[in-house]
Amino acid sequence: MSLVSLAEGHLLRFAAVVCVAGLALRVLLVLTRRSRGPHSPALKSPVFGALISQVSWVVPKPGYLRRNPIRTVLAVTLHLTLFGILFFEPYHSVYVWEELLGVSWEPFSSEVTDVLSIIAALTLAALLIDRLLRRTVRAVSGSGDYFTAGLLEAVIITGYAAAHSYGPEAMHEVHMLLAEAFLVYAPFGKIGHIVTFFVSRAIHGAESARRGVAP
Amino acid sequence: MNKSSKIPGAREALAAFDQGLDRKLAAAFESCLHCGRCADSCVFFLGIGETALIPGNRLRALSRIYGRRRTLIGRISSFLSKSKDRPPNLEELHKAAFGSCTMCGRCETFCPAGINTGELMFLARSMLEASDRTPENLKRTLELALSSGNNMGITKEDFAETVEWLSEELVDEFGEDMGKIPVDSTEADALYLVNPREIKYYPLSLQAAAKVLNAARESWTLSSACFDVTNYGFFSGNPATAGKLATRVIGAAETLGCRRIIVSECGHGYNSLRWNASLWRGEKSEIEVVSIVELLDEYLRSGRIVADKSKNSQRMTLHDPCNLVRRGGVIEPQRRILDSVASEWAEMQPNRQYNYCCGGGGGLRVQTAQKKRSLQAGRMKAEQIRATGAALVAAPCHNCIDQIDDLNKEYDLKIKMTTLVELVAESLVLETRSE
Repeated sequence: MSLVSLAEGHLLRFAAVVCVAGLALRVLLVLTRRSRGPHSPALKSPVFGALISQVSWVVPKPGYLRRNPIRTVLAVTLHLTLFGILFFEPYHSVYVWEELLGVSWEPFSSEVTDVLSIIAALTLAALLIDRLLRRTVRAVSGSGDYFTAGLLEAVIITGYAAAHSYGPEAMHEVHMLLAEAFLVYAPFGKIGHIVTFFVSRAIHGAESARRGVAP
Repeated sequence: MNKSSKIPGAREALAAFDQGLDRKLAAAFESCLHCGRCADSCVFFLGIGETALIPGNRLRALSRIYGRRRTLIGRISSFLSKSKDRPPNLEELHKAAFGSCTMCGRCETFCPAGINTGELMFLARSMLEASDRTPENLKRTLELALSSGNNMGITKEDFAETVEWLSEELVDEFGEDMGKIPVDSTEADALYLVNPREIKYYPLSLQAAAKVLNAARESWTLSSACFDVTNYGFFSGNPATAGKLATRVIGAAETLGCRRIIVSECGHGYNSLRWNASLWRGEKSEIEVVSIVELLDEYLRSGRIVADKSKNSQRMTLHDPCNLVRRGGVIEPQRRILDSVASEWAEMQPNRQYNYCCGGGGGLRVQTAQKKRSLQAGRMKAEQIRATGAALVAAPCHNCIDQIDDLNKEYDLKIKMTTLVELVAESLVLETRSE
């Protein structure tokens, strides 16, 4: 079995299973903790609070946007471009999702995903530099933050290079292996926030609503 | 013998961690993005500037414990390295939990993941309490509340004497109906709870409350056995004791046959009784809990009392106590009250749930060792007040009033402090009650 078929087949499926199962377990470990209660009569619907809380966090808080305009724009841009690449890059949408889920969908054009990849790589690099230079962010950063950002940057760059046949012949395999490493690592590092974030927001939103405070 | 048993209290601290770690806190540990947004929210970091005070940083000691004991990889690695019961760094926890956090919850409003560092600090405080590391003054205040019935050790005789002369003054000025201050009445609908500070140092706020409650024809009473709304179990991070204190006042209301409790202007007292009591006690109470702020608003809106705002002509501003507003949900009533009773008032910026903490919450004011730090943390509040140009600050929380009084001296703000009930009492138009 060639490396490319391994990377596109068994390894991809293995990494995806580890990622999904690991993230699910991580959420399960949270949800199996006791919940608070009994509660006093709620002022607003906790369910509505949990739902609205999923989007309310994007509303800029007083003073924050003014103090951190570039950082806010970079963070939002990074997440949107990563979403676009992951789901709509031609190779991903036609091959990877077909391989994993048995479904595929209309991809963005390669020109669009090229632009998205470049923007994603640049914004991630800018955020990494910001993390290193900005005192408040550097102070709360750990090795895991730099490792995650570095690994993700490598995945984006090798993906772009593979799509354009830049670099060594095995660039595609390198990209696949890095992406799979990223998937396997995801449940164990801060990337886990792609699921725990929503759980935390839901609990926060429900409690805020219960107390009559906008989540 | 495991590693934890070598450090006094370490084992108890870890047990308290396991017991206190609920779903919300676990989700918080799992979701921190290390984005640093909390830095912009925290009055300790903004006021003092040390990066160790950034909420995300203060969580490190606690996060390590969570990592070892609760995460998948942490469990595997701590099993292999036999470090699951590695003793927590209690000194680091102590620094983070006491003197660096008022548990104001402002970080929660800024955090994309909705993490409330204050609640995590409550967990840290419970670990420190379990290992007998609660700051002495805080511990003594709690013990006094438990032993004497109130956190200032006011005797029943002193309480009765104070209430009597307050009532006499009111009767002299406004007559029998307006002047009565009922104590231990079994006919009353509501039990009024005060901050003991009102009895000892600030009786005019109780007198003002009596005047307004009587003007509104409220059916109310004080309890000589149980008048203290404060809950230092909350500040000590001891849910069991906090529950015990809450049960005591709820029990007093039940004994007197009251259907509801009116909480004086005390932020944490309201938060404790309205929202946390059922969680601490593990059961709901049938007794309704309202803040006097909500009640004043209701009286004014329904016409049970009428106010003349020209009687309060000084330019004033409004402080939003964290426990009443951000953690309590009482946000708009105080604004409507000021609209009715003040000729001119201006909002602080930011306000409502984004308002800055005064720096004196979370039991910091009884920790005399933290006085300097508490004043530094109040810098943002001082700047907020100065920017309004107000001469008078209305603060519906006695703890905040004391703290802002100290900020007034420290930052030369040239302001005076007042409660809302005093403003309402001052502006009452007694002759034209609608009924």
